[in-house]
Amino acid sequence: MRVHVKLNATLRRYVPANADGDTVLVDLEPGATVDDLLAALAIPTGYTKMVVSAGEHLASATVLHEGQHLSLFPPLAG
Amino acid sequence: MAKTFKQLMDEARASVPEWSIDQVKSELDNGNGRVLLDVREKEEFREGHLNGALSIPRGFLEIQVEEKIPDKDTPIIAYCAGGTRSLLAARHLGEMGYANVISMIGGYSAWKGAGYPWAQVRKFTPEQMARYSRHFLLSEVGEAGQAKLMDAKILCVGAGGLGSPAALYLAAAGVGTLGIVDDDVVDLSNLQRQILHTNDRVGELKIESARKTINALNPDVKVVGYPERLTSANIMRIFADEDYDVIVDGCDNFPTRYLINDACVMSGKPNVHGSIFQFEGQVTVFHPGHGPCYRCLFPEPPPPGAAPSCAEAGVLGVLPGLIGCVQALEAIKLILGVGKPLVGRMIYFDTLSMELRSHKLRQDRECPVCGENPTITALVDYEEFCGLRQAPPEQSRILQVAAGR
Repeated sequence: MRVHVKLNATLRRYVPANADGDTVLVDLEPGATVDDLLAALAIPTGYTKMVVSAGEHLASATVLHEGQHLSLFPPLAG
Repeated sequence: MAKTFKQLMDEARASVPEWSIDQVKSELDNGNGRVLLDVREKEEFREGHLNGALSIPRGFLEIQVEEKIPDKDTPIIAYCAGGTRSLLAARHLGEMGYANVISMIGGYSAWKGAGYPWAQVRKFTPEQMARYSRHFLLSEVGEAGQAKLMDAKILCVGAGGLGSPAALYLAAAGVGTLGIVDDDVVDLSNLQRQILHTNDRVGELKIESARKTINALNPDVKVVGYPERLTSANIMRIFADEDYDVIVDGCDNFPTRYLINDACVMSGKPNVHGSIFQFEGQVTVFHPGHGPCYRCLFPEPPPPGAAPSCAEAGVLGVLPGLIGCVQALEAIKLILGVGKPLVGRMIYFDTLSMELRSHKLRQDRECPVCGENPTITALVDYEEFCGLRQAPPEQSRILQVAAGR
């Protein structure tokens, strides 16, 4: 299945060069969770971020669904 | 046919139930929710009134009552000084459709004379009456709310991009005590966004520059400066120094963010969080016991160097103005107890696309600080926690046992 992941602020540097804007399309196995998505992204491990979909902050075990739009928010220092 | 005063009173008595002060007292003591409506003039109200009373002088009654008491089935106890004006007022309210209005016999004079509890709003100077006149017009602020603001103590961490607009608006709003923590001096590169400071103050301590700007705007504000870097060793002393009601986090680095979070959770203080990057910013309120904390969202800091600061990545000067203003607004809402604070919600501004998004935040029951079984119960070394410094050998990470949670 495929999900749409928008990378915000300091995470935008991890958007691949061929991506459309700041949104990355990620292919995952059916039943994949938020944790699986984070593992699939080329973002250093340990870089904690908030995963949000439809205005809800998702738990790491939340199961994703086909075509879901997600947004990743990093902590900001400044 | 023209009516005499006596006829008007008789007619009012025929349609309006009247209660003695003892009946009113026992009704209030029983916790039955009724709106206490004081129809005397503002000056009389200021001298003293029943606790929690709503003030609408009789001359403004018909004009303002529907806005202030929209539900016409609301049980209302109207009172004045002696029971005459409230009886006439209650009759008019009945004509407007208010179905449950009682007039209190003997009014405020009898109430106070019986030794029943009463309250007094702060007396404002003529200058304050003018300065805060726009606040007085808002029923959500009013004189009681302004008094709360003037009694409030707010600590701003940082007198930089976020702290500047936050402190300025808090001062303008009349917040009585503003603590400011910043050990830095004004640099020319600050002036693109840090509107507390001016060109002729380059090289001056930021807290001194902030004091001048704030007191030029509003001399009533007590500015308490802390020219030190916030650490595990001093944060509880600074929080307790004026027993601050609200902390406004306008700092610029992760160790201080985690330090403020943990100290706020441990001391139960609400933390109005604002943070920014280039053109984007986020605001939320971490209110211990009411919603998640910073660690619920971000249990660990990003690896050193992965999340650049404004000093490294740049920032559009207007952005902290926007975010800092929202922080001031949220702090004021917390003090007034009005509206819906940003607890358990975060707003995210992307100013390039000019998109404003709001999302709910999840409290982590496993959170090491605010969760059900916290593992961090004392402040730690936050530079080390953020990987900015190696742990010295043989030294405990625990620097200070925090005050009771």
